[in-house]
Amino acid sequence: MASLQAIRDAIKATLEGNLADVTAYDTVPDASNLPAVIPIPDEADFAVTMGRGTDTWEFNLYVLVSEGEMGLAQDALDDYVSGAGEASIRAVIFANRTLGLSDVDAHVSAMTDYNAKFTNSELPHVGAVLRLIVHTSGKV
Amino acid sequence: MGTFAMIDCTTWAHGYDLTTDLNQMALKFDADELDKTTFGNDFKRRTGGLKNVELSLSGYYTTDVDALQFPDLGVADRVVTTMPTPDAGSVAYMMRVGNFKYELFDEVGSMTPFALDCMGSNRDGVVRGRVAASKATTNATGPVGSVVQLPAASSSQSVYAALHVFSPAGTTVTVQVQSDGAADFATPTTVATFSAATSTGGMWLRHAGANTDTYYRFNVSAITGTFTLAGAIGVQ
Repeated sequence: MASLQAIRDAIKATLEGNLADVTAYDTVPDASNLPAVIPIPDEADFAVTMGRGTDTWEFNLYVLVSEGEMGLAQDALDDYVSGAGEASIRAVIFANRTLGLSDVDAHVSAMTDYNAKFTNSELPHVGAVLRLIVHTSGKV
Repeated sequence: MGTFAMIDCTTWAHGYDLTTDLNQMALKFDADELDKTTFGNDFKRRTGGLKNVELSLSGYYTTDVDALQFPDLGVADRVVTTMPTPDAGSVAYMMRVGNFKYELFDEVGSMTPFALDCMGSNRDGVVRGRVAASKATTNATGPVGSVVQLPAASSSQSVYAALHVFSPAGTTVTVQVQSDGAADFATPTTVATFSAATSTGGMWLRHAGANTDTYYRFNVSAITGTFTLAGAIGVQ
């Protein structure tokens, strides 16, 4: 099985290995370097199959960009949440659905938020939230 | 065991443990309802006819599941044991079935599912026994699993046993069903012996006739290599 920590590490490695200029985090940082992607576990289902055969983790991927100039910020954010292009987080996950782990299957299922109300270290950011669903074995 | 949540219902299918691939299962028994109402009755009279067993299993697709089930479509007498929990002594339903329906896939974004519809394919039907060997690895001769207590077998009854050999399997293993009048098995009697297993798969054993013993166990009489075994024994 892949532990929660291993999955978060793998999300960071997958995004940083395939997206230029993005700082991906495995845990919530005190202060983030922008543009940033921060995965936060939101829900989990441990009763997917009998015998704890499968765990399903649902992450919110917080995609944050600087709000310096609102138009540029939104253009950059649009590229990160779009389905194709060099900055597409969705395309990276789709092409790396194992996240480099042996028993993981991941996909981005939805965007659940998009606005200029995000803050980190009391700094306002423009951001969006992508829903990342990760299935893994529930036990060895 | 009282009421319980279905979180560890276990299914051993031939030489594969389907448990952690499944999220839904239904085991159905029925008997033909034969009407024998005659004139002079105020109410219908019925009697039971031929019995039937059906096992529906559904869960999430893996290549291992597909590699097992796709070629098994329509194949009769696959040994299947299903039970509320895999613990030694748990009630176990043992049967030989054919897989007559295999379904795959669903809507976009969902976990890739599969579903199996199995039906009894042998006159032995379904046997309600006990788990005598939880899934475990062995490489030595001697008792394997746990002693289970079962009813004494009358002359019209039989002792049944289902044995599952999982991967990875060693070279050869021979397993006996033994009984005794006491739980300490001071003087065990070999009731019957499975054919030597040399690969993964399921094996079925039926020994007809009376047996006053009420304690049963599996015993490995010969083994070369390491095997992962599980099984159940029943009397009816």
